[in-house]
Amino acid sequence: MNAREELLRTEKLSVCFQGGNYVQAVEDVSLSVYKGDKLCIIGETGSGKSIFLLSILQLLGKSAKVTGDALYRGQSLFSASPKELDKIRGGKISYVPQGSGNGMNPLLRNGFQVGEPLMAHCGFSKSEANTRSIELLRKFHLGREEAIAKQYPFTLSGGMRQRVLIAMGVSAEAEIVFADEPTKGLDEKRIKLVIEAFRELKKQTLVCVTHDLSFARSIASRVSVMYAANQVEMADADELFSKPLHPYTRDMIAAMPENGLQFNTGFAPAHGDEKVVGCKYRERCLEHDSRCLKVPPMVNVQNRQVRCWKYV
Amino acid sequence: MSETLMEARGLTKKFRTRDGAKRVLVAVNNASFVLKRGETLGLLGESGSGKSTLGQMMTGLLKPNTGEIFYRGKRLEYPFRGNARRKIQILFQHPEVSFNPQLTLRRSLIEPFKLNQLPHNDQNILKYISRFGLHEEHLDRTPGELSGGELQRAALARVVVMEPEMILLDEPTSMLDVITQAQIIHFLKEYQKNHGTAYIFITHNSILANQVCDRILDIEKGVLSERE
Amino acid sequence: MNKKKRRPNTATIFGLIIIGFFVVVALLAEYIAPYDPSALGTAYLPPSAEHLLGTNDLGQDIFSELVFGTRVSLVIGIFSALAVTLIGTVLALTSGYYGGWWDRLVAAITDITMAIPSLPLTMLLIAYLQSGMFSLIIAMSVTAWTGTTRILRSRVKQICEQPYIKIEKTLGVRTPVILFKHILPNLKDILLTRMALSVSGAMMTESGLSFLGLGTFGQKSWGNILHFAFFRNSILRKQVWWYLPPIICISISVLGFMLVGYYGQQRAK
Repeated sequence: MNAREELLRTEKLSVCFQGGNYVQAVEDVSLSVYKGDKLCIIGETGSGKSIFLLSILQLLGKSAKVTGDALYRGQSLFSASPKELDKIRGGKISYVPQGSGNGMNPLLRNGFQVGEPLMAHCGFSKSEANTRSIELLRKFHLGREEAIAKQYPFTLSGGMRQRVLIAMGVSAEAEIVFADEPTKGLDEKRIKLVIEAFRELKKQTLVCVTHDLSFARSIASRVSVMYAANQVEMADADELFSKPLHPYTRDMIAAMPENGLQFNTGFAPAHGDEKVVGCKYRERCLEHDSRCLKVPPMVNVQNRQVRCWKYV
Repeated sequence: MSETLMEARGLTKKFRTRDGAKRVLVAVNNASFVLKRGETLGLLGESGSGKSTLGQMMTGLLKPNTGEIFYRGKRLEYPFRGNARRKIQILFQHPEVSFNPQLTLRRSLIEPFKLNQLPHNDQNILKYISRFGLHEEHLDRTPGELSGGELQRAALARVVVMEPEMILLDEPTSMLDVITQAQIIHFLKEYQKNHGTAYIFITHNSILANQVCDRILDIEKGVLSERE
Repeated sequence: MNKKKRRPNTATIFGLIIIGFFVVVALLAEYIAPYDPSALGTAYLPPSAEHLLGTNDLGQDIFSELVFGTRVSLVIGIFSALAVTLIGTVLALTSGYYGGWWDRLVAAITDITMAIPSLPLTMLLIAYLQSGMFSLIIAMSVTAWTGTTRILRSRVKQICEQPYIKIEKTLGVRTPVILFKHILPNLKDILLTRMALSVSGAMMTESGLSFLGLGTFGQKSWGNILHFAFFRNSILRKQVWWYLPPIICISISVLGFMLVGYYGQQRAK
C-alpha cells in the first residue's frame, strides 16, 4: 500500500457556542486528509459541517469555544502564531465561503479579486495575474470573461458571483482548497459547471462541505458524513454510495431521487435545545436498540469508519 | 380519466427593467399547455427561465399581458374568484416564510377551515394534520419553532382543507434535506392517490422531475416545450 | 428552534425612562407646578425659594410654565406623530398591497411633497389656519407624513412578496383580513420606530416654530417660553434660568424618543 502524504488532521475537534443557549455545534471529530484527496463532508443544515470547516481555519467568532486540535503537515494550527496562520490561510489552504457570492468585496473589480491570491502568494505581477484570472473565469464558463474581469461584483448574478468565488479559491494553487457549500442556490446546469471545474483540480486536495449528495458523488474520492455535530461515517466515495453502513447514510442515499426517493424513517425533530441522550440518530433509526442510549464509539470496519453500535 | 383540468393558450408576461436601460424582459413567451385531471405535470427549467412567473400566472397571482387560461372549460378572469379560486392552490419553496411569523400554527390553520365553512376546533384540525405526521404540540408553536419539513407538511395540510383539484408546487423541496424531501414527496403522492389532485411540479432538478412527474414541460427563457 | 428572548437594551430603557418622566409631569402638572403659569406677578425675578426658576417678563413663574409646557409640547408632538403614522399606514397598506395606478399615484404625491420645502409650507398653512394647537398639528402633519409613508410602503411591498401572503390570497382570504391580520402586525416594529421618531421630529419642529413666534398662542410650550426668553433679551441679560431650562427639556425629551426609535430600528434589522 503506497503511503499517502497526510496534509491535514483534526484530533477530537469540538465546537460549542455559549450564547443564550448552550449549543454543541461540532462534537469530537477526528479525521485525516491526504494529498490528492477530494473529501466531501456531507450532512443536513445544522449538522455542524460548515462550522467544522471554519473552526479549522480559526474563522469563528469569539462566542465559539473550540477544543481539540487541527494540524497542517504536523504543525498545530490552534497553537500557531497569527503570522504563521496568515501564511497558511490563503497560501496553503484557501477557502471558498458559502452564500451566493456575498463573500466578494463589492468595491474591487472581479478580475482583480481573482488575481489577488496569485499576487499575494505566488508572486505574480499584475498583468500575469490578470491573464490567469481571465483563464480561470473561462474555466467556469462565465461568458464575456474580459468584460466581467473589468466589472464589479454587483453586475453579476448570485450564481455567477459564487463561481467567481470558487475561481478565487482555486487560483493560487493552494495545497488544500476548502469549499463551503459551493453549489448552494445553484440550479442543475450551473452545478454541472462547478462539477467540471472541480474535476479539473487534479493535483489540488479538496475538502468540500455540501448537503448535495449527487454533487458529492460526482466529485468525491472520500466522503465523511456528519449528523447532529457528530461524524457518523467515513469511507471511500464508491464504497459509501454503493454500500453505506450507518443507518443515517443508508437512509440518505435511499432517499436520493436517483434511487427512487425511498423514505422509511421517522421525522427530523425541530432543532430544539433538548439534549439528546446517546446516539443522536436513535429516534429516527429503525434499527435502534437498548445500546443506543449511550453514544456509540467510532469503529473501524475494513478500511472504513462508522459510529454505530451495530458494528461494535 | 384524462379530462382536461386547465388549459393555457399564449400566455405572455413582460416586465420593464428599472435599471436605467429601460429594456423589456420577456419572462414568459407565448406559453401554452394542458393539465389533465390527476396527473403530475413537471415544469423543468433553470433559474431565470420563467418557471415561477408562469406558475404565478397559473394560480391567479399574476396577470398575464396576453393569453388566456381556461379552467374546466371556463375562461378565468384575474383575480380568480369562486370555485376556481378555491380549487387552485399553491405551495412554495421557502417553508419558513409560508406562514405568518407572528401567529401560532393553530391560528394560521384556522383560516382555511373558516373559509371552507368547516368546524375549526382543535379536534377537527388535528384530524387533518395528523394525516401529515403533525400533532397537537405543533399547534402551539410559531413558525420559528418548527423545522422546514414540519412547516412544509403544515403548508400542505393547510391547502388540502380547501379540497383543491390542482396544486402548484413551486420547488417545494429544494430547501429541504434529501430525507425530508423524500418524505414530502411521499405525502404528496399519497394525497394524490386518495384524492386525484393534479400537481404542477416546478423544479430545476431533472432527476427529481423524472421520478415525480408523469409528463415534463421544459422551459427555457420563457419558452415551453414538451419532453418526449 | 431557540426562542430568542427579547431583551431591550439599555438605550431603550433609558429612553423609556425619559419619556415616562415627562409623561408623568404632563399628567400631574396641576400638582407639581407651584403656581398658575398665567398668574402675573413681579417681573424678571432671579431664582429663589418662592420661584425656583425666577419669573419672566410678565412675572409668571418660569418653573410652573415649564411644567405646564411639558403637557403642551408632548400633546402637540404625540398627536402630530399619530396623525402622520395613521396617514402613512393607510397609504402604505393600500398602495403596497394593491399596486397599480394607486401605488403610482401615492408614490408621485409622496415625491412631490418631499420636494416642497416643509418649513415654509408649514408656516404658510399656520398663517391661513386659525391659531391653536389643532391647526399647528395639521400644518406640521401636512409635510411630515412622507418619510413614514415611504418606509412603510417599501416594507409592505416586501411583506407582500412573502409566500405566506400569496398563499393567503390563493386560499381566498378576504383583503381586509390580509391587511389587518397578516400585514399590519408584521409592521409592528417599524411602526413603533417611526412613531417615536415622528414624535421627536414633531417636537423639534414645534419648538422651532414656537421659538419663531409662529406656534400656539395662549398655552405655552417649551418653544414659546424660549421665544419670550430670547426676544426679551434674557441672553444679553444673562438670565440663564430663563433660557436654559426649556432648551434642556426640549433636548432631553427629543433624545428620549430618539433612543426608543433608534433601538426599534436596530431590532427590525
